[in-house]
Amino acid sequence: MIEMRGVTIRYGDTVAVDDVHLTLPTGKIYGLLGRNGSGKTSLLSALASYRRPNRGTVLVDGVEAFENPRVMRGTVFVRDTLDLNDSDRVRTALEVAGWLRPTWDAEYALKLLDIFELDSRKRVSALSRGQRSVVGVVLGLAARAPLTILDESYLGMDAVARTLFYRELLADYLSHPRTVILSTHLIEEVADLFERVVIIDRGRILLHDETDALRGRGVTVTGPADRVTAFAAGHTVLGEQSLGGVRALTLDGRLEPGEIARGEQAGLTFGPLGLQDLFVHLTSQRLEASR
Amino acid sequence: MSVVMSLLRLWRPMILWFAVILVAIEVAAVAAISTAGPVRFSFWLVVAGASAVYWPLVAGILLVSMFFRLFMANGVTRHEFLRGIALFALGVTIVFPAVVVVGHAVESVVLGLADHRAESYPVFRFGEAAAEYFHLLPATAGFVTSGILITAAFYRFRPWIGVLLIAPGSVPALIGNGLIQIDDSGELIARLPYAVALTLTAVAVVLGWAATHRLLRDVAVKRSAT
Amino acid sequence: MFNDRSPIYQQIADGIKNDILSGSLREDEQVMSTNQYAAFYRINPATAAKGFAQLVDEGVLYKKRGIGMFVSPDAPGKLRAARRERFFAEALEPVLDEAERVGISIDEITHYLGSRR
Repeated sequence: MIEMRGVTIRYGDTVAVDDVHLTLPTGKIYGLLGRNGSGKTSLLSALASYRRPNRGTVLVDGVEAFENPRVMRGTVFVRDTLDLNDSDRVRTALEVAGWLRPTWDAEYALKLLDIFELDSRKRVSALSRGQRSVVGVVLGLAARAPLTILDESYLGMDAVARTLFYRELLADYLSHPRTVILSTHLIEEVADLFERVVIIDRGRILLHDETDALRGRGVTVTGPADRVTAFAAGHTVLGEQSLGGVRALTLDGRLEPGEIARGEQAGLTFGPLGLQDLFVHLTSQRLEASR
Repeated sequence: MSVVMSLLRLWRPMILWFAVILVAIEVAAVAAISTAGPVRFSFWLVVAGASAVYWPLVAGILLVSMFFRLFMANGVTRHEFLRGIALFALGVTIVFPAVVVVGHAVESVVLGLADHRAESYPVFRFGEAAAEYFHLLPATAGFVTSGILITAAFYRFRPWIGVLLIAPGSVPALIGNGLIQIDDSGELIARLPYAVALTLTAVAVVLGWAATHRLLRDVAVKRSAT
Repeated sequence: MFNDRSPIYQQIADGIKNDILSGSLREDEQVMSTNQYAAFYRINPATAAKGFAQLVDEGVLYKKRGIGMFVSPDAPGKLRAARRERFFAEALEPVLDEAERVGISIDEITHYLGSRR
């Protein structure tokens, strides 16, 4: 169990993470979604003990994580700025990981380098953006750490490499179950891998739910403006678009089949909401239904 | 593997290259100087001795700027890292003066055999080896400590605060090097009785490490090196 | 393979039911393990497991400890019966609603069905 109790992170006057309470059962693949500046990276830094919260604590299996050797040895945090020296060669980075990480699998690391076709003799400074992402992914996966956190590190890869990454991540998760937290913008692409999704917005946790519970949550109702507005009464409105006399409202929650039937008879059409659209609407300005 | 063992393995290529270059420069320089006649001073003591207390300073700087992020990214705690670099710094303090003394001995003996020593050359005498060694020790300890401390300050705070902290951070180095040193002509200088100087240096070094500990024990792992 | 507009475990369950009805999966045939399924379709194994668990609950699949999951011998029959029940309410009624909207009479429909016999 990974717990964040009242975690607050401040940078001067800015509050990046605002009194967050979060309980993450271990052994699952989590997706962390949030806009830029939502506090995502700060949250992950706290989880990885890279940053001590201004208030609150992070506990892993009941023990405070910060500066705990066992917890920190069991955590790998890969972020976009690879925490490597430019002058190092890739194979040196792998070597060092082998010296320091008890769970490091050197053979697996080499196999991954092979799959991604990366020459380990290259220096970090000579790597392209995609290759940097590959190194990050290799360091993250081969560490076989019980808590594996990847902060958008794979976003520099092209679509083919990303597909390889998802395949390798899932395969290794199946053979070596652990807690994996991926933060991402590419929701549609990765969502199938997530068992649970956590959405952070403006430093607060908006939701933490099973991915499947979010699929099919939310609906767009389109039709004559006044009838749409009447239908939406009592529901949370996430977004609105009007053109002439036609209005489309995006509503949160699920509708009963009966409700839908009545709406259709009134001439309204309904469209389901994909995960990405749901995320976009939830993290944009919220509107009141009474408008 | 422990932090200090990993540091040694990481430093090995750097130390080897450094040694090769240093010896090459020494040999080339002494050869060049001796073409102009008997050698009047010890090039080794200048390059590796008096001005080379900066080598431990550089080592201290690199220990934090190159390796803190790397070790943190591999699951090492800040306290484990501090212990590791403290041990490494201790190793530098013990080994570096010895290297200077041995180099001086070799240079002196080789020049002596070739009869290229001038009057003013600081001839190496085995009886004085210990004295030479102990005259380098405080400066080495001071400079490696200051290197680590100042870099830690730059890592934790914004650059302008780091600049302000250069002065207090240099205290171990200045005390260690200021009170006891070997100058260009190979003379052993002690501005205070050795025991007093050593004690003052030790105190400055301990305070320097206490400050480093305070700076790094809960510092955030930044995305940049400094 | 799966859309993100309805829970995937539901889509999995429906997909396997379709395979059973079409004959791709036969009675007492072993189905892929949840991990194999997850790796094959590149989805989270817990999601796959939920879909399979639902099918076990509904009696469509059964588990043999230590070996795997198999199609229940009466699954095709049961599924067909359930689908037949729902056919008129879920498949046919919407068609009739649309026919009404567009102005097609029941007679026209009957005539069309007659020509299709």
